Amino acid sequence: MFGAANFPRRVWVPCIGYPHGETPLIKPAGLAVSRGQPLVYRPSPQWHAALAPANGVIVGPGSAWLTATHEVPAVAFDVDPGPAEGSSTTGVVANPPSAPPASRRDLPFSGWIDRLRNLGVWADRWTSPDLLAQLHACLRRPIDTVVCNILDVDPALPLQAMVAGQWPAEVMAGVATFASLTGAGRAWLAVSSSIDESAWTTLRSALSGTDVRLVPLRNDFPRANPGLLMRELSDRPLRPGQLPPEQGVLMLDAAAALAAGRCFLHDEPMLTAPLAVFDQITGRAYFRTVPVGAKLRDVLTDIDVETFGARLFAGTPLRQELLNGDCVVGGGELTIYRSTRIPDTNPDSCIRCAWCVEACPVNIQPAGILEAAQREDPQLAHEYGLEACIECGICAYVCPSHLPLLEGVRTLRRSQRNARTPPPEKDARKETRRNPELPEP
Amino acid sequence: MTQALQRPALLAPLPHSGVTVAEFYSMHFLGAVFPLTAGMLLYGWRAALLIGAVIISTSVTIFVWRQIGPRGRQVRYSQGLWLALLLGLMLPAQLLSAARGPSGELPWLVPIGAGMMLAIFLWLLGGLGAVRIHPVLITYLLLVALFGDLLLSRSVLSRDRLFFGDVLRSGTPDRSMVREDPWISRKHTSDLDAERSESASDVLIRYTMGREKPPRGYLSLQGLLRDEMPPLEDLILGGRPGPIGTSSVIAVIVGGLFLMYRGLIDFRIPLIVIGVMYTALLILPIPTVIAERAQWHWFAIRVHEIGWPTAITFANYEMMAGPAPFVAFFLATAPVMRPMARRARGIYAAVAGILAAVLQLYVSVGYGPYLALLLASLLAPTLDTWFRPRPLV
Repeated sequence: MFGAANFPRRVWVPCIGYPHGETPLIKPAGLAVSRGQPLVYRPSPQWHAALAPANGVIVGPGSAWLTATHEVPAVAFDVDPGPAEGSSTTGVVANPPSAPPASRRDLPFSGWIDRLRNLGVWADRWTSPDLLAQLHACLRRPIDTVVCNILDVDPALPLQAMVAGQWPAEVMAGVATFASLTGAGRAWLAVSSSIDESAWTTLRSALSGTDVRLVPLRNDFPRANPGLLMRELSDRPLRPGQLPPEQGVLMLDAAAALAAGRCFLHDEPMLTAPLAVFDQITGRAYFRTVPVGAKLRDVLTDIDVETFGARLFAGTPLRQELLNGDCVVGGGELTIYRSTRIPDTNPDSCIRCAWCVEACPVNIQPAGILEAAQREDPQLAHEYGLEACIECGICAYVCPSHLPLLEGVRTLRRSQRNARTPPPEKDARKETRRNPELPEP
Repeated sequence: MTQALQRPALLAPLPHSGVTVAEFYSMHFLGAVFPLTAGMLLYGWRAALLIGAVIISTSVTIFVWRQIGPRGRQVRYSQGLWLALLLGLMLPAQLLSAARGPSGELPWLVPIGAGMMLAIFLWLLGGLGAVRIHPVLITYLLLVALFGDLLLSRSVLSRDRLFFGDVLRSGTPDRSMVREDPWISRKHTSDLDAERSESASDVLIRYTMGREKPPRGYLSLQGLLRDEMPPLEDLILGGRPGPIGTSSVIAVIVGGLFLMYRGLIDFRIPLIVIGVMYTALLILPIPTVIAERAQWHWFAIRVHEIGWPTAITFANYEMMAGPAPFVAFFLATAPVMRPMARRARGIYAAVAGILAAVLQLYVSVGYGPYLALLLASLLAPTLDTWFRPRPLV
């Protein structure tokens, strides 16, 4: 069961979806905002709403780190002391309805997308590609399948399975409603074939009366990746960076389905997110529902996990997605690993053992890509399969020479992105978008 | 509320398997334990000392060469020792002898010089990661060019003198006994430790090159296999003279299977090398009869007097008499040589198999497969360029 994390004194609610160089119009500092109310002025249709996770006061603009390298604008918000209201997000609602209320059933699909965005629902992580971008893509092309990915990247830290087990009705409602809205003929729940009998029974009973079907799969890493999962389920290719709707599929994980399901059933905003923390030093796992915008340092302190001298990874340590204590919780990665600092290793030369090639789940040649990164040769990287890399990190894990194979892929992709990205806008344009009510910096 | 679950798995703090380059090579060593043990049993303490001499001389030379420039530091002990072990397994045990050779050479200097040459080649070729030609192959072929006669094996220990016997204390057993009784069941009648006999590879190459001079002016392929060759089980177990590590085919295969089991080698390569080589041995022209001159035939199977049984037995002898299984499992799979791309590996292995059959039939059974592998490995960089990976998504 997920326990409720204590609200930290201050949260940094991320403002997601703002284009590079754009800043949100944040409400004035000192303004008291109640739980679930927006912290920014009317966001654009492409931008997600940043909502107050509890009653409190706006401190001002800031920035939040989603990973150690991904920074977004944020609203610093001081939470009022005292118990948080409306804690239904951490508990199970008794006998929840299985479909949206009749008053909203005739809302068009685009209306639901706006509703999800206004209620702060977002998910953009390895197992669940950008939800709102997928929904917008669904408006443009037909969808035949909705897949809810309940496979956990690390079966030993079963966040998705626990979410589906604790809130089955909301998860099913999310999936079934998406299937109905998109007109998809199939709605599947991809679950690990090794889940225990009680979880299986819970899911089956939640499925009764819906068209959602359970699809048991062998959950060996990294099958939870959308590309591999789609290949397994429907034999359709999905390249990294592509959205599943481009192949006629809407894909989300259990946590995203839960947030959407709550929105559909109870009009409830996404103010908390389920989070799993595994402390590799002590061998203990923690499952919490955490306010959106809470810094990892505060969350870990709350559960008595020391962050000093440790290293934090998102998703799974194999992917080497580094975090730090300043990263905030939201719709990004929801499994966190704390491990000791990794001593710097001096890599050996490539001995051409080809273990990276043998272990690669998408049949690319990581050693060749590293060579291309060293030569700064994008054509060579393309020939070795750079575009297909899902950044699972298995290659770097098995490499006996300790070569930074995953880093090579990321470096190349970064340089390709930078080459495509136009230079930042002039500062003057930023100034014109500043909220006039805010104090001068 | 503190809610914590105990989790047994994934306690290692590093996102790495923990296998280092040194461990990679040491795992290979475990696979080589099988042919090494068989070699030490069959050729006694001299074999153990010879391998030790190669390894020590390689280590000392690496120590010296590591001091020379940045390239010197690229030469690693782990790789060097593994290659030294392979080289030691390819040499005959009688090299560890104080008696001078036919041209006045001191045979015991050969393994020491071989170890030094190996280390120097490693340095010259760039050390770890830079090598695309197997230093062991170059060293061995250079040794063949320089000391060809010294590398011919002449004796193997009797089965009741395993390991403790001296392979140089040898006598020639009765020829009929050698032909009829396999080494494993042969009674040992003399007080000598080892049995001296001509190696099967020498007999085969003389015949397939058409150089055999039959005593009665006529020798057919059936006659060769029946009268001149030892029982096949001798070659499988290692009861005929040969290099230390390649004589016992069964030990080589078990060692290779171990390497496959540990995921250290790609199973396709030995499978394709052996399969293609075997097929080529059945197809390529061989003398079916040697009378005044040799009568050559392609597809010996289709020749009326030969047929399937004789042709297959001949191919079996060819496979067992030379170092082909050792080459297929331990050398052709070496990371320095084989291509990285899976599809390219198949072509590389097929080319190696065909060349091995050709060179074994018409050049040398003893070193033909080594030469074939060296030639095939020259193709590997090109194959890697031609065959890029086919990504799944």
